[in-house]
Amino acid sequence: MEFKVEAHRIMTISLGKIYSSRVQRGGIKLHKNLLVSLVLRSARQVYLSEQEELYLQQQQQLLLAQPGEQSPETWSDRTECEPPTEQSPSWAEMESNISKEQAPSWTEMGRTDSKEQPASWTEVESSGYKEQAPSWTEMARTDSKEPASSWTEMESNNPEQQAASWTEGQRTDCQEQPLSRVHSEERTDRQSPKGLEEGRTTREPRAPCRAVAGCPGRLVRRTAREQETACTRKRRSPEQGAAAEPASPLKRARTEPVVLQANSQSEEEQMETSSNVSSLINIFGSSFSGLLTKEESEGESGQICCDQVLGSMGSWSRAIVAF
Amino acid sequence: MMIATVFKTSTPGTNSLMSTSSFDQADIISTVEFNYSGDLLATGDKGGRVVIFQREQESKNRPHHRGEYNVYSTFQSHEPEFDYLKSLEIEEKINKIRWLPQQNAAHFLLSTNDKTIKLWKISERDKRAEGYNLKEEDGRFRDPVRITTLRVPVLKPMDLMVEASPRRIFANAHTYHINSISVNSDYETYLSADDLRINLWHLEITDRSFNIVDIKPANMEELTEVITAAECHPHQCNVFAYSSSKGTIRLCDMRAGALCDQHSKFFEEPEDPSNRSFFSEIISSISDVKFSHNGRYMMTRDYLSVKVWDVNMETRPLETYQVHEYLRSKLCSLYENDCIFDKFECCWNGSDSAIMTGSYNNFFRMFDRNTKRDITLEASRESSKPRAILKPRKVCTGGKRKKDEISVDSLDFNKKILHTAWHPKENIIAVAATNNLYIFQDKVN
Repeated sequence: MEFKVEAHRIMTISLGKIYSSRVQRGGIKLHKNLLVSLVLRSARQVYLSEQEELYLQQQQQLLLAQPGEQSPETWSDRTECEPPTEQSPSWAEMESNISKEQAPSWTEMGRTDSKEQPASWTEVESSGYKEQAPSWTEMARTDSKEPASSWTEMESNNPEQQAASWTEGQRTDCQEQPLSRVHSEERTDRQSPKGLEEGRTTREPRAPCRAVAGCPGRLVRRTAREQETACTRKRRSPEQGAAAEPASPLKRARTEPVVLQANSQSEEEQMETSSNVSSLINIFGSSFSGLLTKEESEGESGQICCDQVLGSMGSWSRAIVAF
Repeated sequence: MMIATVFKTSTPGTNSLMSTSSFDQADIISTVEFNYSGDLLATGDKGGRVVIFQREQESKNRPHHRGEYNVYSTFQSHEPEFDYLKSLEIEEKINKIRWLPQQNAAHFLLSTNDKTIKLWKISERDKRAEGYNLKEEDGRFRDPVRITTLRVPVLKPMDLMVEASPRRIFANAHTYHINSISVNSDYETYLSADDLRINLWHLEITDRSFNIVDIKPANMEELTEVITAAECHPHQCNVFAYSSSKGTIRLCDMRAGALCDQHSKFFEEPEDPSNRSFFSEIISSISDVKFSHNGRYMMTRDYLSVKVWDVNMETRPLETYQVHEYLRSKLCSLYENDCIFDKFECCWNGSDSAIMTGSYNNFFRMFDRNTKRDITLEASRESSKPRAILKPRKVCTGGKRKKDEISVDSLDFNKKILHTAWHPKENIIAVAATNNLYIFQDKVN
């Protein structure tokens, strides 16, 4: 457990360093940011492996305590944000509204999940860093081994496929998550695009469970679905040798903040509700209201999330009542 | 074992009387380098200035001042710049200075900041021409009508004036921050290294350079290591070495191909699994690599140790010296205060029998390779009155602290010695402690 706390602390510090390196004089130091990202990666692996152990422990406890009740299990499924073995009913409800293939959804979930973790850290640090959305994008990329997005920016003068590389980075990021779960001891290695596709299909069954609770997940999926087509389009482009599409990454960047904020809100809520089932209602209520007030100040993107949250409250309140 | 005598301390900046805590950031020394004869010592600072010290010649008039280094020349080498395309400020801090071997009366050195390398000519002027025909001594032009006779101007002695003029500017060749420059043994070419690329230049040609190493991955997200230092072999002009952030050194031969991405030799010591921690990668990153003067050995500095490698043996280093092993348990706090990213340099003595490197609390360490003895000394005003003999220092790592020992917790991590230099022939060392330069000499009775 101590390792988890230590790992979390190191992750927070690392993110702070990456953030502050963007404003220091002389430009971003590639070497230092690379080292910080390596530390971030190691700490995250430890943190996630501890998280997984913790989840498994809690699962076992719950199964032993109340084998009959379905709702609390599903509740803890969601709150733990770990790959649970079964799907909750309310998840199924929400999923039925969305029709798409498994593979893309997995990609989105994987991507979302990998973003969620840093988002929660960002929440912890939100007092220091007001501009969450843009810096968050940086941290998401940090996850995918790019210490600072400005490395890609530095290359913008070169006729290299910036858009394609950004896409690749995201996809690789998805891939890393299951790898780190399954082989927690190993360092995640770089996957070639070919390997990514293979990996994706084998990891399908775990896909939907990964997403965050509530309709922020829905929001993610919807926007992600829009992006997915752009993704596939761009993924093919390096294979075909086509030139990069500069317009698409811009579009993605704009939708990103929406997704990010949604995730960060839900992640905050998630972290807060992960502890005790009996006090869940209070925490849930306060965090939702907290979410709402924060979202209103964020503007339009927050408004979307707010609506989604309100829409799903009905299904959850049913779950709570049952419990 | 060296017993050092201090015979001069000098502060290039203006705040010599103020305490170190209130100095100007621009005065922080960022590089120190002796020239080939050892008569000149150049320092570069964060403000882009270069200060050159010259050793006083032995003279009967001032017997006690033999060997003292005095300021010879000061000039502004680099100015802060702004890259408008990338909206990035380019620091004027001098990252490295390398002297060229002297070929005439003037001295030449290369100085570099993050992006631009400049070749400076430092020349003396101690004569002045007098007796011009067309102008008076004060510069006013003479009325040509009034000139009735012609005379030949005569050279008269004047007060010594040292001029520094930029002769070449090598710019726009590096996308990333330049960390090293190294003059080749052919004295015609030199290499410059940034985080991902190494370029080979000709000293006469400024508008192009050859890229000889490029480790930039096609996909930047796949970046796993960067180049941290590079140096040319002292005798073989086709050989150079570069170190990486992963703790490896590659030796390359330029005869093998135009691009030296494929190394000729690869030096790596397998990591000790018992020492694994979150920060293992950071502390294994090599901050400096130096060939020995005889060219048979290489020395590398990582965060906690110095390693001497035999150029012919790639599997493991010949010798490993622990600089401040007591910091291994403090890596987390050193990560928090950024000290873990400090890039310490190392240097050989003239005969390659001893090596020196810096540490914290203004300590620096010297290791004798033959006797395997080491010494820790401190560069501070209190202990360095002129002609004082330096007392060896000791860090208490645990247990009862003896008198005169310093405990690890009371070390000042803001006082770090990153840059040191050793005279090429004699036992004279230059140690840069933040904004102060200390010059120590071995006193032989």
